[in-house]
Formats: sequence, C-alpha cells, structure tokens
Amino acid sequence: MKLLIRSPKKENKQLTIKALAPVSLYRLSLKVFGGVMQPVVKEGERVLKQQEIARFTGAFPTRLHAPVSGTVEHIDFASDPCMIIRNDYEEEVAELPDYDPEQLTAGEILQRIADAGIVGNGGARFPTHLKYRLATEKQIEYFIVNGTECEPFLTADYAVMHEHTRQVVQGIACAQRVIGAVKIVITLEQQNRELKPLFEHCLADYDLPVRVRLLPDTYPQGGELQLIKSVTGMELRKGTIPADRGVVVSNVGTLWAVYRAIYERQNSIERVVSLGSTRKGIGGNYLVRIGTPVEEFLAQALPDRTFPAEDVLLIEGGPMMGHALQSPHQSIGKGTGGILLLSAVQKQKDNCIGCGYCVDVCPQKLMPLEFARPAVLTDKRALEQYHVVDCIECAACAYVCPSDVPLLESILKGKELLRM
Amino acid sequence: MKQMMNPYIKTKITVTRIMLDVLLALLPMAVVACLAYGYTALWMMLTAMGSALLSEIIGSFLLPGKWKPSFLDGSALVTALLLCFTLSPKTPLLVVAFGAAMAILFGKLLWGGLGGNQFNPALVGREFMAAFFPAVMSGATLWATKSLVNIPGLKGFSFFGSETFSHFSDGLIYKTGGALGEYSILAIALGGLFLLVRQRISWHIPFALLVTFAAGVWILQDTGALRYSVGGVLLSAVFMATDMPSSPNNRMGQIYYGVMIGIVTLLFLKTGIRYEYMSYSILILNGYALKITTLFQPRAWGVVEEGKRWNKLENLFLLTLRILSTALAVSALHYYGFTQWLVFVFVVYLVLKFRYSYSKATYLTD
Repeated sequence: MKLLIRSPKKENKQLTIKALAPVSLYRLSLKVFGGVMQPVVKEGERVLKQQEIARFTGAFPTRLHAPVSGTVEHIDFASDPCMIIRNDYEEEVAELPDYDPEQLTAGEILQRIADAGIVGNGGARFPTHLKYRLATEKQIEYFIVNGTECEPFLTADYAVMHEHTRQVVQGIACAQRVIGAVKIVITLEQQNRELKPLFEHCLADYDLPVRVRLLPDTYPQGGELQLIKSVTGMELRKGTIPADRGVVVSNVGTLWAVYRAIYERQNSIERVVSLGSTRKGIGGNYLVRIGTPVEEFLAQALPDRTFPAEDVLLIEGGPMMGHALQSPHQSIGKGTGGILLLSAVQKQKDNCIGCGYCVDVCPQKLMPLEFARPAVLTDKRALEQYHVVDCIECAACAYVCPSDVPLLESILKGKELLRM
Repeated sequence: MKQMMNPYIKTKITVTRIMLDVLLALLPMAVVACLAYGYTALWMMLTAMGSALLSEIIGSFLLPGKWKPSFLDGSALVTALLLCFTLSPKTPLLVVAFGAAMAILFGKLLWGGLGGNQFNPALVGREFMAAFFPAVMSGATLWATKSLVNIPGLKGFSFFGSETFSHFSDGLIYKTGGALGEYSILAIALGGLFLLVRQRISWHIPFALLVTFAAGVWILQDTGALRYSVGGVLLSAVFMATDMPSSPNNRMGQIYYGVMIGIVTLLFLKTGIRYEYMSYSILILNGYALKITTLFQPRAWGVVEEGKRWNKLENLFLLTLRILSTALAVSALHYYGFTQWLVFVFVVYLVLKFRYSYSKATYLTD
C-alpha cells in the first residue's frame, strides 16, 4: 500500500513568502547536532547582526550568529541551553568579508559555508561543510538535491524553489564546485511538477550534469535512504554514510542558504518556515529569523492575531515526525521546516488485529506490529531479529494503524532496551 | 499531562470501517441466500447475529482480563454471517445459535478479544457445532434441501443459444444447492472485488489459494472425480482465509499460506472428506500462521543476510512437511470419526490458556 497523506499543501504552496518583522526578543538554542555550543560573547555584551555568538568545536563543528543587533540579555545552561538577545532594532550589521564569489576555490567555498554556520535544513542539522568535505575525499557519482518535501502540510522548500529558483541553482553550482559529482539529480514530487520547467529554464545557463526527476507523492519518499534508492537504485542500510557509496544528498533549503552565504554574504540567521493547520485561513510561508519565539511568529502569522485554543497542539516540524512544543516560548531553529496548529487526535490503543497495514507502509521493510507485542518488546534477541534499529521513525505505521496500536512508542522503547 | 507523541495526524481507517465494508461485501450473498431459501435463511442469519452479539456482550462483562470489549465494532456480526454462510439451510436454529455463541466465545473472547484469535472464529464455531451435535451436522440428509427452496432458479442466460452454456452461466449467478453462502458465485465475486478495491483485503491469499487449487484440480483430473463446491472454495478463499488475525502478516507469508491451503484442501478432497475440506484446511493453516509470518519475515532495508538462504529453505521444507503431516493426521481422525475429540481438547487448552495467560497488559507502553 503506497501511503498518500492528504493535507492542504496545494493551497499553502501558492502563498508567497512573507518576511516576518523583527521582534523584541530572540531565544537562540545552543543545542546542535552532537552537543551544546559554547558562547563566544558574554551576558550584557552588545552584538551586531551576523556576528558570531557561539561555536561548537569537536567532531561536528558549527557556528551560531546573531539574527539582529542588540544586547545579550541572558545565557542559560540549564536543561535547555540557549542565549537570549534583546533587539535594539537598529539592524546594525557586522562587517563581512569582501570577495568575488566566482573566484572562490573549492576550499574557500567550504570555509565560507563553515563560517556561515550552515547546517542541514531538513531537520537533522548536520554541519553542511562537513558533509561536503567528506564528499571531497571520495568519488561522488550522485549529488542528489532533495526537493522532495514529503511531510504533509509543509511547503517551505516549495516556496524557496518557486520564488528563488535561480538562487537555488547557483547554490547547487557552488556545492558542485566542492563535491564534483558525476551526476546531479534534482528531485521533486509529482504534485510539484510545475517546478520542473522553472528549474530547467535556469539550468540552461549553467553547464552542469544535471537532470530534474519527478518522484511519487508517497510518504516518506523524501527520506534519505528511500530517496537514494529511487534515484540511484542502491539500497543503503541505515547508518551508512552516503558519501562512502558515492552519494551526497542535500536539501534545497540548505543549498539556498549556501547561495546566500556565498553570494549575499549572509550567515545562517534566517530560514523559510511554513505555517500549517487543518483550519482554513491559517497558512503561509514565512522568512523567519533563527531564534524567533514561536508565540511571536504566530502573533504575526495568524490572521486574527488570536492565539490557538487549549486543545490545539503546537507542533514544530511536520505532523509525522515533528514534535509537540511544550511551550510557545520555544523558538524557531535552523532545522524547523514548519509550525503546525493541529487539533489533538484521539488515540484509543485498541488490540492489534493483524491487518498488516503497518507492514505494507513501512519504508524500511520492517514489521512494526511485532514490536508492539510484549513478547518481542522485552526480548533483546527478538528485537535484533526484527531489526528495530533500522527503523527511521517516520511514523507511517502509527499513522495507518486502524486500531491505534502504540507502534512508535513501542519501537522507541525497543531501541532504548537495546541501548542498555 | 503526558506529552503526546507523533504522528499528529491519523488515517480515517478504523476497525469499525473495515467491519462495515466487510458487511457490505457480504450483503449480496445474504440477499441471494434469502432469495433462495426465504425466511429460513433470514431467520438463520438473524439468530446467528443475535446470538453472537449477546455472547459478546455477556462475555465482555463476565470474563476477567485486561483487554477491551469491542461489541460495537461490527466484528461479531461479520463472524455470525460468515458462520451462516457455511451452513445448510436445514440446520436447526438452536444449533445455529450455539455455533455463533461458541464462535464468539472460543473463536474470539477467550483469545483476548478482537485481533487475538489464532483461528478463524466462524470456522471454530462450525467445528463446535459438528463436535457437539454430530447427528444433526453430518450426513447427506442435512443437504437435502429441495423442500425449503424459495425461488428455484434463473433463466437469465437463455438468450445464448447453447443449452449447456446458459445452464452453466445460470449456475454461476444463482443455484440452490449447498451452504447458504454458495448460491451465487457472482455475489461472492462482487463482494471480493469490493473488498479488494477498498483495500480491506489484499489479493495475495485468495489468488494463491485459487490458483493452486485450480492447478491441482487440473493436474488431478485423470485420477478420479473430485467432489467440491466452487462457491464454497471461493467463499472461503475470499472471506475466511483472509481473516486478519488468523493469517500471516507479511505478503510472501500470505502467498505461501494461500498455496498451502490449496494443497491441503486437495489432499482432503482426495481422501474423501465431503463437506469440511475448506474448514479443516483453513483451521490447520491458521495454526501455523505465526510460524509462517516469522519464516517469511521481509528482508529489511539494506540488510544483507549472509548464508541464511539455505537455512530458510530448509525451514520452509520442514514446515511444509509438518503442515502436510498435520493434514494427514486430521484426515485419519476424520475417517475414524474422532475429530470431535480435537474440539474437546481445544476447549480444555483454551480455557487453561485464558486462565493462566491473559491477566497481563496488552501493550507494555501502558
């Protein structure tokens, strides 16, 4: 059974990107892929827009920059490490290096990407310069541009591809100077095929070994492993580094950030976020600065300026793999593709009827229903035999289950058991 | 408040919807049954449904255990109707009520409720009827139903010149011999197609079963006449073998399951079992469904299984031997008239199992 999930994507994708007005306070999370960043500024210090405020050194180095000019009000190292910056509304920008983008060498491009703090836009936030650097050490056959935004409701990537096609292409060209792949494939969902001619028109001005491919609208077609198979025919086991097999996958949002870093000398301080809801009238795509508290985002993005009711869930990310926010004070991060307002669905937790729908939709070819059985969930050998670690936690199984069996919860519990 | 987990959207498919679709699929057959046998058929179906619902309601309250009562989801009605469709219209209503109640009790409730059953509930009910009312349920007199017929036959295809062809085609659409569900191949086929389109069943089990059976019939055609009912086989293939909890959970397993049911059915036909061949074959394969699921576990994404191929083939071979041996054993028991003892042993086994196993949580994440 191919999983097709309906959502108001068609309406939402047509809404042009609106830039959010600056807000009074920015809350920047210091958590990154692999750990917590160290601040390079102190409390009380004044910072300029684009200035570096935190850095992570180690296996996955990256940087954070101030989205506005203002004062560092507070640095918190409690359970949720973050830095709070109070906006002085002067928009004073830190001096940025001067150079000719066309004259940069591959090494210099990589350095600029690292300095700009660019991380994967798709949610994982893996440092982009590291991914490309790993690629330079291998022979890359496929550079896959991931434009397959398969999560329901989300249209942020679409908006960027639609309105800034040429810039995305320039970003791809830059990345290609580093990666040097034999083939470049831009992937799009069938439902977004109107983007194909837009891309091809821009690509005509470049001498790149690129083609645009349309892929089915099924979920989760945009998952890295499934995408790689659809494009290259190779089935990579979860945990394999794609570069080891000659593949690099990069999100279109990330490539747009690469363009902005190289050509507009913009550090990674803002991104496009889509607003989604089952209620009509709530939607849109917004250019939001990193660190904008969600309540401020909603204050500007919701039509009647009223905050959602008690039983409405506030979700960061998509409805399938995102997570419900504990409080609206939490903020937009570099990996936030969407903010959703959804009514809480009832979960009854009935008996498994053995229908096997979960087995049908699992992209990793696992049998999710087995993990919900107590006999398997408490048995390490059984968990290994059924390959619970290969689950990519896409939640397709939990979505399709007619009995609301707690499949994802069981899988997470199983994974936890194996870690012990 | 416990944090709610992703996903935050849900499909509209629920168990009740699935049951409703199955009931809709059974509707043509019910209508045809009433056409053929009038009030007799209607009363049988109503009795079965009533008895099933009552048993489920009473059972849910009386039986201890930590599972959820599901009498509102329509599954009791489905079981009752399917049971009726395997019975002769001459079956006494009291026995029908008994069968439906047993189907719910021993085919569903004592296994832990909906989804827990290892065996097809309707067939369990039927075998209980055969075990506890052997005089009534066996013998050719049960099937001498001409006197109860309501509408004898159709002449719809007579505009085709050929006498045999129009007779055959008429027979496909409507005939009055056999169990309640067997009168119209067309009705069964329509029901099956409906379920396939709605994705409530997949084609794997019925296809594997029917292809194997047809191939077997063709191969064995010179070895003597095989007496079977096409309607019975089709009905079982589409509605009985596809019962979700009692069939394997992965596609390859389902194909093997369908093939084995076909083979075992042919085996029973060859050993002269006249009426119970489908019930027995499905119940036997039900018993092995869990093993089949495990054996046919799909290859996970990107996983390369070194050298396990031969191991799996060996296990497959041994499993096939075990299934065929079980079939021969049942065949012998039937010949000597001991099949009712299987049912008695089953009763003891299930009661003990229920008493000692079902007091723990259904899911550990509660």
